Amino acid sequence: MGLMINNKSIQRVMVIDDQPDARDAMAFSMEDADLEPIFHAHPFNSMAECLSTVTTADAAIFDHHLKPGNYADFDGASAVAQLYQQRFPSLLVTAWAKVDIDNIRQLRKDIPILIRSGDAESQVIKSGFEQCINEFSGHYSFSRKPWRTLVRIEEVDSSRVYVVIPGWNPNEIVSLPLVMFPKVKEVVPGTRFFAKVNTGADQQEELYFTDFEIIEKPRGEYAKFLRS
Amino acid sequence: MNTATIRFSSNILRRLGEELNPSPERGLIELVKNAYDADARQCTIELTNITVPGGTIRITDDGNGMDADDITERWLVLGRSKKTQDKPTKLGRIPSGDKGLGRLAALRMGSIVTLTTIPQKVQTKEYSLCIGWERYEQAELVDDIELEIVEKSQTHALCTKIVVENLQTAITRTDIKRLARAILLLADPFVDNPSGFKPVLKVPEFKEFEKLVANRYFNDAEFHLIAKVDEYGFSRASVVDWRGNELFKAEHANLRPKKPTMPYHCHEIQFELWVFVLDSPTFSTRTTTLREVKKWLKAFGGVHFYYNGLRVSPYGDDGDDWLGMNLMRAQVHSVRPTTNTSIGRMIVTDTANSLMQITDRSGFIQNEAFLEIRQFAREALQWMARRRQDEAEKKRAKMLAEASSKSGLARQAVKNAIATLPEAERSKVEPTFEEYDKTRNNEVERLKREIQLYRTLSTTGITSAVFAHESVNNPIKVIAQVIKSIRTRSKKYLSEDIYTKKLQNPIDLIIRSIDSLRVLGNVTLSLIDHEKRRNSQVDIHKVIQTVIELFQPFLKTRETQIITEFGTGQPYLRGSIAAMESVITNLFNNSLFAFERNPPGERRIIIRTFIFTKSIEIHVLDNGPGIEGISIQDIWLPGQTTTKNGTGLGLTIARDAITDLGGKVDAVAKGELGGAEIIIYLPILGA
Repeated sequence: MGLMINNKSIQRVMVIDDQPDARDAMAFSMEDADLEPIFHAHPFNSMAECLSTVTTADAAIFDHHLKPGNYADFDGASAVAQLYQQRFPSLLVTAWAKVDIDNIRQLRKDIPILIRSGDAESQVIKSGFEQCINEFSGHYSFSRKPWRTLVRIEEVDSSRVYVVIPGWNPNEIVSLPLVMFPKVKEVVPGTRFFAKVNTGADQQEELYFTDFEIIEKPRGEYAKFLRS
Repeated sequence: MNTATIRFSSNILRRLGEELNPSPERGLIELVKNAYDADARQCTIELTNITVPGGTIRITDDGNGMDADDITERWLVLGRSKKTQDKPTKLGRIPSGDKGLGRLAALRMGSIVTLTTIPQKVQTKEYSLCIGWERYEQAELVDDIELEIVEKSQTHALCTKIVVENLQTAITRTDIKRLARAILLLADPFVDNPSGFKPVLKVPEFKEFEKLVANRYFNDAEFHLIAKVDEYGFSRASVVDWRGNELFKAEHANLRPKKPTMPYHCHEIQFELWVFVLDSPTFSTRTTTLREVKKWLKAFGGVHFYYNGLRVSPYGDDGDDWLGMNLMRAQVHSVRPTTNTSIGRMIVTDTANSLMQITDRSGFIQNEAFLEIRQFAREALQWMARRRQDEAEKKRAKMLAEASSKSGLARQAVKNAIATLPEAERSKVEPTFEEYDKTRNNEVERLKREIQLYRTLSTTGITSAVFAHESVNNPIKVIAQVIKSIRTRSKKYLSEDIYTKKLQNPIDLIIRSIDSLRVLGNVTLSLIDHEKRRNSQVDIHKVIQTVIELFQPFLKTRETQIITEFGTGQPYLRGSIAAMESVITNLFNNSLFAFERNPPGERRIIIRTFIFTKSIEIHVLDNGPGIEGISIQDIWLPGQTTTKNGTGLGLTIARDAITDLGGKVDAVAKGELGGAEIIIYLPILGA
């Protein structure tokens, strides 16, 4: 019983979901994957409590929404991202609603797998854990590999920035939370940044952004030359 | 000693019959009332060839019938005082009473009358009687003519039939209409009729009225007054809104401020009045139209008098204003109802015979009892007017307070400026400004209502979005997860043969259905995506394609095909995706619902674009039934719908969104595909 990936054994998996039925449903898939599901039926008082509980198992699978069911005061995404930093294999499940995707974007670098609700079959779970462990040892899949690329700001509103990544798809607008940007006053339409982006991603749901560097506007003679 | 008797010349029959009864309708109504008194449930009046003289009237009922005695002692006796009214019939009806004069008038309309009747007492017998009025013309005295009652055995069901043949004059269309209305209103058709009495006039006009009366527009009334006098003569009243929630309430002393302790000299009466505000702003957000309510009020408006369960004319007839409502309105304008804007009824149960009907059936004798009833109704109306006046004053005070606001001050500044103009100019400017002011106020009022409407819709939208979100997150997730587990396990634990033969199809079907469910949830969520409300470049073809994709699951279940015939280019404009989406979504919804009115068959929607340098034309055509039962201009109005349970808002929203995008819209009732064709004109920035 269990999985063996790169010499790491995964057998007991903590299933974190605020809905009991959803936990039971996930347990079936875990069993199908030859894994042992472990539940935590009580609410978590804090993220720290959650992390220390979860890490007693070998791996974890989180639902993104934990707050509606009176189960936790944080989202699954932030827990998964922290566990990634600790090199603890964990997967995130969400309905792929646009608003969730946009909010998760900030943490997306540390969330290797985003499983669509209901799609967490045994096969998907297995390959998910595999990908986690591979990333911990520095092996990124093509779609997860970061590249330094240009990011152009198209529009800005009170909480979101709409950008285009010409190196990924010049025709698609991607929305990012404003808080992702280092200096807010530079975030105006027309500004260009360099950032590390996984430009191999197939869909914008997979994109993540790190290491923003502002590109200085051309000055002096060079600027004149450009304007001419 | 010589003895003598007063005798009647046969001419008296003409005097009493024709001259006391001004219209055919009153006499015939008396015959219907006879049926009511005889506990009939059905009563049918048939008119044959009556548009010319010589026609026939046939009245049939299933009442208690008469034996030979009844015919001689009651039916043939004219002018006897009322039947004993304090004794209700077996069905609990209080007999309307009858002096026989109305009946005489009806019977005299033709030259031959035949009565056939089966008495309940002896149902094996049938009695008939024939009266030829010509014999009376030749006779000196009424008593000289002997009539023969024929008795024979029979086996039919209980039935009394009166046939009046060879009518002396034609019955006009106006007469028929009046008769239809009177018969329909006779046993209060606006409530669930406890007497179970449903007289029917077999003419097309009656059907029209019947259809009209079935539309109970009471819910569209702004106010509903209910006033009652109890058994001691003390009254109370309340005004409720259309849901029945109380707005104003009064005790006896409030209703009679001048005689607070004096009871009314009448008792156990109920007066109800529904008051309508008939203007387009009020109806702009309703599902009924102003026109239909007006038509209904024109047919049935007025305050009807129901006396012991039956209506007494002329109260509430066209042109009758027995409570003087129109006069009261003329005196104190504004908040008073008129006979054109209200409908009401006075319900009086009188077993003590305190009210007496005039012999010619033109209403009640104006005795104290009647005058008290009228006084009561008038005082109730006056009380309601005072309350509404009061409310209006409060509103006005609030408006005055608001006048100190910015726009109020600006308005005052304009007024002050006008006041400084020389007289000649001022008299020109002042009315124009006032007209402007009035229009503006109406506009503000309309916008307020619209905002209210959109708020309600937004709440619905938010709720359904929450619902969609919840179901995608929970039950759908669980079902999807579990079915996949079932699939994995069946493959693992059962033979491949059993899995493919017995389980694969049902499992795949569940998975496919879950996918459709997810899509449906996403449609709702995607429509409220906040980014779509921002102004940006809108790629028109792309939006249309996206909406079609979103609609795929609906289209599949509704077996509908959407065909795009786009012009070349990528037309775009500046606006919000949400606006463009709501236009297309609402038009698609409209077509999808229209198909339901057609018999099953191929359902097709074509969306076609024509691109010009600075504009685009979008045609949305379907092969549904087209625009029916509503005029083309009216389809854009809020609340106008021909779909049952429709909100009537889809096209209004579409039009508003198109206007916001700087365009306009047109409709063709039967377009190229046979169904509706909507044509949208929009300015574009490029293509």
